Amino acid sequence: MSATSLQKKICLIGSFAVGKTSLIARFVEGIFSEKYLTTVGVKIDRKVVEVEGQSVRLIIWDLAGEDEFIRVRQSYLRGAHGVFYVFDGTRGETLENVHSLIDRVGTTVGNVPGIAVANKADLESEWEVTDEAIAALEEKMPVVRTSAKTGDNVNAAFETLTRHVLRSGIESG
Amino acid sequence: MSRRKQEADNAKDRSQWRIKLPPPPEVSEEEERGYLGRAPKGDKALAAALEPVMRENIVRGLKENPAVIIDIVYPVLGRVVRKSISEAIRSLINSIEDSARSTFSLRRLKWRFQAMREGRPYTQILLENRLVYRVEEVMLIHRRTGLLAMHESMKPEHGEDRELVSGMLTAIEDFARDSFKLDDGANLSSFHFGDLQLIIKASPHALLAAAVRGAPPHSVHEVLDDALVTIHERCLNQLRNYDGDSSGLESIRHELRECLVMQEKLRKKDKEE
Repeated sequence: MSATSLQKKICLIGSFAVGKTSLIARFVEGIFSEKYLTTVGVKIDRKVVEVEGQSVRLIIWDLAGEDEFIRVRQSYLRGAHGVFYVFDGTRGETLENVHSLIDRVGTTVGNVPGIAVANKADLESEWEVTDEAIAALEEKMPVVRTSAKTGDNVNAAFETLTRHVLRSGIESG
Repeated sequence: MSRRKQEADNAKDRSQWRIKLPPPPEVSEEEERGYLGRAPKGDKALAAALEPVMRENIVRGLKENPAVIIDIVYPVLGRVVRKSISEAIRSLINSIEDSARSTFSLRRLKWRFQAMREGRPYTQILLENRLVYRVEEVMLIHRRTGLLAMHESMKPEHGEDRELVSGMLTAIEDFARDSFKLDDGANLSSFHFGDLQLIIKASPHALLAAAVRGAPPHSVHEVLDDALVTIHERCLNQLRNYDGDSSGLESIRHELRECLVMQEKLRKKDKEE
């Protein structure tokens, strides 16, 4: 690790099977296998992003997906500098869960920069999520449409969030 | 009379006192052997008569100037002595080597087998077996974010992944705390993996995790505790407001380096000394 490199803790959360882990798999460096997600409930990876002339090392906490039995461990969110809220465009309820997660993150760690990631953009014809629902979410935070399958917009999502995190740091500093 | 003529006359006088012997007769080797073979019995009596005188003279000469005999005898005795010493040393070395071979070969063979089995370098196994303990690396982890604030290691190749390890470490700590419903003050204090131990010290804003190989004595805990206290005192504000930028923590890098301590096993020879 470079002594002067800037690091940021980024959490990746969403419903079960929205494609969080697949979304970042090709774009990050990691040493831990996916079994950590089903055991400890988190897997940590890293991605270096260049934004506005600055190199930022994102330490990505990929949290196990939520379902009716499993909730995100609130303690893993502590200290996060930014959050990816991932949902599956083909499953409307995953977007509903994003709203719930936004509230919970706000309660747990306060006002943390975040962006919503609408995954499975390659299956747009099968989407249940409407443009109106996306527009409603955009009132809270930026929404980026991505595809884990094709890799479309994944880097853009990382850069967008990093930019928000850096700006947030400047404002709060 | 001139001085030169006087010296010439003196030399002539001294030469008159010299005994002029007749030139030796021409004899063949065969004749010489014949003479020696037919030496008269009276010659032995002469030798017997001269022997005490000669012996006395030799002894007196040696007493007066022992260096002579040393000069004469040294090349002979020196070689003998050197050869004798060399033989003794060679014998000693062979003995030590034999002893070492018989004493350590089995152990070393075992270590080589262990290295092959575990796919690790033999030198690493050798080192492990020669060490009492070694603090191989220390990680200063920011508690709230799990980010690796600073890292020092005896092996530079450890650096790259440690920011992931530090995150996972805090996650596991959170996991354990949540699972057992422990309060926030509780924290993991150590992990054991074979001969590797991870000792974790906690302060309000940071964790100091040390990877230790071997059996660390209590003094290692004291070193880590002291370092963390110093870090806390010196960088309280930086740690409290840590935002992923470690440049403000460079002043405590020395404290981390001081934690990389080790102790080797004393060998038998060292113990005897």
